[in-house]
Order: sequence, then C-alpha cells, then structure tokens
Amino acid sequence: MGEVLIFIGCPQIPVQSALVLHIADFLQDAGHHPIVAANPSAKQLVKTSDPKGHYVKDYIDLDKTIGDLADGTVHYPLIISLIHNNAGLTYTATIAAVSPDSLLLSVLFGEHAYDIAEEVEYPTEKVVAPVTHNTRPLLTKLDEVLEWAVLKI
Amino acid sequence: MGCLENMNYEVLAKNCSFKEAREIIKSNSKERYQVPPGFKLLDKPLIGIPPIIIGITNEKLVYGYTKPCHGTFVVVVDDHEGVEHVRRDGKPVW
Repeated sequence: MGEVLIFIGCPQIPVQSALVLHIADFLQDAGHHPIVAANPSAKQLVKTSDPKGHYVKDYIDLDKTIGDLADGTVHYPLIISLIHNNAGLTYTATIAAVSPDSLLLSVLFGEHAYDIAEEVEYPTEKVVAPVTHNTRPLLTKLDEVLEWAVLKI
Repeated sequence: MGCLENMNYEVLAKNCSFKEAREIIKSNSKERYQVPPGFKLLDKPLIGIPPIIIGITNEKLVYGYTKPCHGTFVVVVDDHEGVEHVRRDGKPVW
C-alpha cells in the first residue's frame, strides 16, 4: 500500500493535532503509510502527542513538499490537507496545481471554516465544520470521506 | 541564492489574502510576469493560487510570500538573480 500525505498548517486551532492522529490511525488501519508535512511547531505538537510514533513515523517540511511535488520527484495518490486560515487555503491551492493527479481532500475547520470553504476554487472533496475544540461534528463526515478515498487509490 | 532574511527587502503588505496580494503586486509594478506554483525564488517554491504574478520595479522583485501562521506578505526584494530568472522563465503579462 502507498504513502498518503497529510498536509497541515499553523497549529493555532486545537483540533488540528487530534485530527492528524485520527487520520493517520485510519490510514494505517487501511494499510497505508501516513506522512505528515508540517512546519516545525505543528510537527512538534503532533510528535508530543505521539512520542513513540505509533501513528506518524515520518514528517517532512511544508515548503520542501511543495518543491518536490512541483519538481515531480514525489507523488502521493491521496493528499489530505487540513485548513483553517487563508494561508492554508493558499498552500492547498498550490498543491492542487502542482499535483493535479492526486486525489485531494480539504478538511476545513476553525471559526471561519464556511467562509474559507466558499473560496475553494480548486478540484477537491471538502469536509467542513466550524469546530475549534470539539472534533465530533467533523468526524462522521471525515470518516465517510476517508473510507471512500482509500478505495479510490 | 539565499534566504529572504539575508536579502535587502521591504514588506509592502502583510497578513493579506493571496487575491489581495496579487492586486498589490500589480499596482506596485509596471513589469509583470506570470509563473506557475512551485516556481523557485531564493531556492524556495512559491506558494500561491494560479495565476501567480511577480512584478519587477526598479530592478527589484515584488511578490507574495506565504507563511502558514501569518498569511501572505507582499515583499520587494533586491534579488538580481531572481529578476533575471523571472524575466527568462516567466510569461510576461500586462
């Protein structure tokens, strides 16, 4: 089974790290290898929650990931991007442009999730809920979409 | 080539959306080029929603620089190699 990229942005919203571990757990159960692209602080939060790497073993830098996708040196059949601000949207639109053959899931959360979701203009499957501390409203739809996505790759 | 922090640069705008940044770049440069996402300046791939516009004014680059926690900045960078790279590999737009 292949590698799946979980792309995360600023760790300002508490649900982000929990979502990463939840998605990574799902992917491992489905036989896939999750790789997390993150900036140093977001990576540190996930690593602190998963110190022995039970859920996530491999991390890569955000900008290096974009460069490698643009150069064609890496390819991921499935990319799951966690977005809660305009920068996250910009990064994810960049991914859509440099990796058009990947199946791209956009998980939008945080206070402005619906507003940001309306600005999405790239091809993607969206999971949206304006949550900050409580993951529950997001999880049912997220699990449904993940089950569908791993069957597509 | 090097890091933006090591260059002579100024910030025209900060914490803006990419669309706002694009308009600021256009209004601050007469010479403009379109480049694809992932186009490298100072060894870093550009982040942005296509079409990505880079301006040149007074032989300096004007472009959007996105950081995950701080949104998009519009910077004016004294990067002679970058100016040559953009003129050579970008698509001129008006």
